[in-house]
Amino acid sequence: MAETLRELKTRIRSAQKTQQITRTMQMVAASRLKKSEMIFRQSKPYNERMELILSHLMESSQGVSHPFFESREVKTIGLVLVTSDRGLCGGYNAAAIAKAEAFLRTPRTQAVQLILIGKKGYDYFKKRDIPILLKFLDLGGRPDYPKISDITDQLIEAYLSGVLDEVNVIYTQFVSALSNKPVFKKFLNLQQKKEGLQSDFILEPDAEAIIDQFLSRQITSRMYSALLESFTAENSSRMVAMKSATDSAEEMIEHLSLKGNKARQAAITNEILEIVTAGEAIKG
Amino acid sequence: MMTDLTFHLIVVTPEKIFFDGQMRSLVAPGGAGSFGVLANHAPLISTLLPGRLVLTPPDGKKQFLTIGSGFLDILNNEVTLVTETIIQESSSESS
Repeated sequence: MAETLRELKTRIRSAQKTQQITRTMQMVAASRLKKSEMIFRQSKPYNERMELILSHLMESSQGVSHPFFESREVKTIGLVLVTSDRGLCGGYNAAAIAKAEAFLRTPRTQAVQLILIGKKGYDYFKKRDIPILLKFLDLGGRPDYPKISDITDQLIEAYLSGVLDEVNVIYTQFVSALSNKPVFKKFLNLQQKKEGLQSDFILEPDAEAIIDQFLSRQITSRMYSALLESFTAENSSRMVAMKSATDSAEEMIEHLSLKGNKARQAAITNEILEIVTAGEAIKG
Repeated sequence: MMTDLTFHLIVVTPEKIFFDGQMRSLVAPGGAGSFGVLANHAPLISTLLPGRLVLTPPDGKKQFLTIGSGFLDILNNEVTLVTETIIQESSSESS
């Protein structure tokens, strides 16, 4: 017999304790998921309306120049990577980091600078020799608008001052409660319509002023939406990971109980056998 | 007076849809000065400065909202107001 009854009992107890923890974490993640999914869905109309205004603005501001519209030679690419601050969320961070790695491995002539949102991505990349331009480690899964506004302001400043010539974002899309996928998106890619429909919107105070104010808001809105989606995905990923941990703990407890029962049965059989043999020996 | 003419107004913040419904008129603190909107307004995009928004719903009871900076878009009687913050809401029939 490999393990004694006592050892098995200890192992069952520890599995039960683990299960209790993972089950609690699963429930916490489930309630956070519900909350962040709601916030994410509620933020969608704002984002959609901003896109709508953007399209109107693009139609009626042809010929207006703005640094965002200028195409320039790309020397430095900024890569924003959104990861979580805390672990135990299954493959969520690994998948996003793998996406970033795939991008970094692609041979290119331009330099790449990282902008890391989330501790996990920072922990992964801090020892590497890829320059980290900015890092934001204090969101804690709670995206609040002013903070995100600050992040985009810094990104825009880096773009306008020529530190970055292109900005891309890797974040995790929330497909459903059971599936997420990391996506790669170009971020500051505002294309001005050169031709086509010219709408006659009245622009107040004037096109330049609106574009100047609007574009940074628009980008903040996109960033806000991407982060909300990532946080929702993080919570769903954590919930699924904790669910499977709880399930495998359950399986292990069953398996160990079975083993324990067998061991107990074997011990009893052994004892009876000993008594019977002893009795036989005395008789004989 | 064609006061029964209304337009569709939607007020959104990053957090939620603040208002979605018919409106008879609104007065907004525009980037080029305060302006009013009635039904059948010409297409417009304007910046909004932080300030007071006066809404007149079809029942005529004026509502006041204090908004942060934002934008207002009008196309075909569809008015979209986006702002990052709606600081406070107060309802009053006077003034």
